[in-house]
Amino acid sequence: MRFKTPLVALSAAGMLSLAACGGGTSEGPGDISSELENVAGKATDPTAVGPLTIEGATPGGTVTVVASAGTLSTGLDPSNAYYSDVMSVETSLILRSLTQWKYDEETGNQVLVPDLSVDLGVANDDYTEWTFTLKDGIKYQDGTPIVAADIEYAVERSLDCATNLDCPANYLIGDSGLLGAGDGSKAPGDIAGVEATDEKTIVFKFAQPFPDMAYYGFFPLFSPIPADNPDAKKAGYERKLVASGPYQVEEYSPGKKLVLVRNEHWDASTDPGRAALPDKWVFDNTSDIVKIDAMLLADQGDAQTTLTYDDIDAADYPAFKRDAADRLVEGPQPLTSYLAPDYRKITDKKIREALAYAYPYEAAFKAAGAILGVTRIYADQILPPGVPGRVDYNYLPDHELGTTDPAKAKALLQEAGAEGFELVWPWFEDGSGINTKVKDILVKAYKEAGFTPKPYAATPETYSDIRKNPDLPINLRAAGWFSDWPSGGTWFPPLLTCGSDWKGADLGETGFGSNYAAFCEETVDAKVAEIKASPLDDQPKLWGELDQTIMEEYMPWIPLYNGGTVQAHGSKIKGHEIDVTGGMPTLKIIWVQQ
Amino acid sequence: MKAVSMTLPSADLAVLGEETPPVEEAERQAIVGRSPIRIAFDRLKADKVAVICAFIVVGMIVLALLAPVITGLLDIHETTEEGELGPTALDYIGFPEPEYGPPNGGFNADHPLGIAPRTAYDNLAVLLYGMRLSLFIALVCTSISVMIGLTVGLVAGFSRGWLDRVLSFVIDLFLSFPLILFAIALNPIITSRFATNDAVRGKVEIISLIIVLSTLGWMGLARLIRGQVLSLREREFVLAAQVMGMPTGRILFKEMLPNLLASIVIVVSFMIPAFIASEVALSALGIGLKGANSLGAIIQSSQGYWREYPLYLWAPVLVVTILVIALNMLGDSVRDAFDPKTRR
Repeated sequence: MRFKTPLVALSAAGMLSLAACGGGTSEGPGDISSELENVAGKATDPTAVGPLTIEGATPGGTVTVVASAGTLSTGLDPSNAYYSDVMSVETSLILRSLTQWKYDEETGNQVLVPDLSVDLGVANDDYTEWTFTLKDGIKYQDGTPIVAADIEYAVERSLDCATNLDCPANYLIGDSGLLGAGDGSKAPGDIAGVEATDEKTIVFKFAQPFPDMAYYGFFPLFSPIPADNPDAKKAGYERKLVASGPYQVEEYSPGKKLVLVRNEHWDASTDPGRAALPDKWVFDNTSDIVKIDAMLLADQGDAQTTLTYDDIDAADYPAFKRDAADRLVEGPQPLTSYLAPDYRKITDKKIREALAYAYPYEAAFKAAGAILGVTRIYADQILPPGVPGRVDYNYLPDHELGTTDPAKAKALLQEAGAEGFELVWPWFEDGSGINTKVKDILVKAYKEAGFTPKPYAATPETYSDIRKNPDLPINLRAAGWFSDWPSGGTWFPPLLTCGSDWKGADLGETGFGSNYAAFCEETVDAKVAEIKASPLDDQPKLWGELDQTIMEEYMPWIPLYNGGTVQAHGSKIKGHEIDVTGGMPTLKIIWVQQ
Repeated sequence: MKAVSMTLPSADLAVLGEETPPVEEAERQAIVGRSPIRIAFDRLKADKVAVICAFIVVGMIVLALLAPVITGLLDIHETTEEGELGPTALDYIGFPEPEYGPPNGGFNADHPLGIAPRTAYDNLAVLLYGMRLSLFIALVCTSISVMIGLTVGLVAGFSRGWLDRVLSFVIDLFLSFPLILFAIALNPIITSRFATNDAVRGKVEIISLIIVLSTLGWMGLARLIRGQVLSLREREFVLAAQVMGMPTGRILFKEMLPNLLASIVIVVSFMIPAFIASEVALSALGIGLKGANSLGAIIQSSQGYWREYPLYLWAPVLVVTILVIALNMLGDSVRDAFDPKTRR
């Protein structure tokens, strides 16, 4: 899963920063590391039933959600929803999928429960065939009933990754995907891999075992789109979205404003995860963080029923801690941010190790405005905390996390015979000048470690194109990744395997995909395929071991930090917690005090 | 005899002096010998506001010029060079540790204005270098604007006919050009052109800002000069020079220019603060300088800290305010001194 917005993704990943353990003498960082163990729920509850009631909660009122420009800008089309903020807003409020996440107040974790489906799906023995049965009494916003054929249509619609460029359907296409799904380059039409056998039953058939289907089922791409809706066949369906969840779209201006009002045809008794208490939601995505912080701190008028899912600014953190500690919500995100040295160009493992010693973790993270230990925690491996099967180890045992050791880096470079090795990485200049300062810090640190730093300047608009262009003279990229669901299966296959038309150093037509390290080892590919075919119960452990094997043998990444988020809300907003599956607020259970 | 004295007969000048008592013939002769510049300068010296403002401005220029010396003496650093404080001087949210001064600690003599959050650079050092860059940009922009404006104005005013019309059109064209749009559009071009050469890109960014500001800052002066030249060129001494066969260039620069000096000085005295303010405004909006260390860039990076670390924001804001006010008031006094029609 991707960050909230393309731009946030860029700045967070592009700046490469952040980490843990305040070396500070002032009040220490909030203890988020223990919470990290909860990241992305592992629990499931196939028997959960609606309606969801919250003790003492009152219905009604309007919730305003403010966020800085650039958020919620990636479009609402469910077939293309792959950024965490769009996914959260859609699955929590507007759309219903096969399954969904439900907030567990006792643990603060998310539990996988059924949504449109009566249970969490039934798989055959080798997990190549999944059957979901739909509930009775489920309707669209116009009152027409939801049928299984609509979900078949929606899934087939999403397989065209030439149209749905973010390609959330990536697990469904290619050699291991649905039968007949093709490679994503065009719409495959009616395929055998997804079939509505009657009005209430939908069957998925995979070419290779896919044990995580129940988790994947919460994605908006599995939410029904009326098969006979002419708008869905044209571009711009996102503006005419047909709601199946508790709210429908009243007003939508992409990247600026989204107003949601009640969908009268949503039946609470069919929904175990959504409380849906407020009458109206207003998303305003045109603000900036300084304004948002000032408004929430003042807590006057409408600000009392306002919340934000942007991290508050580090500059305002002391003020929130002092004046509004009870309105501050901290929580983890299943994120690993990492440096991806180009495996085709930085071929010597010693040079990659030198990079791990050279990187100015603390300086760069602080310059980027991180709250160490809260929004950034030094990462020690590929998988973020909370993914089942994660092994506790440090990818470089001699390297203390978060420390920089230019002398050691120099020595490693000398061993590799690569003194003065040229590092070219893309970065972009932002209006605030922060990225420039981080860039200066990186240049200085790499220089001290014996590299020859060559930053490659981009603009905010061109940065992501430059980063994903495999032919530019760039050999170091920064990136970040969220778990799509709590499993190693959402990490290694998309991020660290060869692409299907990968030919040695030539990446073919697909480019990096999400594999910014251009990492391609046949042994790893084979191991990934083997794990996917293993019994479900063994998989978490195997993924965890694979993490260690990959890092110790190849070290394709320099993990930088695991993420956390610090959000704030007005005094009349209740139920604002962090949804650990994506670092967003628990929109499903938020209510307004009357 | 200088042409100026023709336009300003000595009788007029005498009236303008501070209540001059009736004078002896001999003294009168001495006054006739003073040039208008000299007279204006004497008036400036008598103007207390002008003197104070001049002191402030000169002081700031000296501070800016001596930035490397001062930072060297105090052992403070403006950027990622040897000897600056590391990230350990900051706490986990990037605020300075108490021992390095505000906002968590008291005054620290090693860092008179504290250190910057996030980067731990010394605020005073950053401010001095910022003043240096902002003043440099303002002065260069002013010089370029004056040169362009003066030349275009002189030629347009003197040339009559099609050339005047063409030049006037060019002036109007530039006046209608949106400055901010220009600045926004130029930036990505520079970034992509110099993507791989970091050092050059930083310098080009400064040069481009100078070009943006000065290409869009000369039109006012050009119009003013053109207007003055239009009236001057009909004066007897210009006609006489033409009749005598003096070359046009000589008429423009030897006969007319000295008469325009007062206007130029006045315009320049307002241009400098205007350019400083423009640089600050553009950079603070995030479309001016980003990498470089200018007053605008400093304010841009400190504005989020207005609540928790006010000194970090108010120090550069105060410097800009004082500098611009001093320059503007000095400009006012210069105008009063040079303009024979104003009286205090």
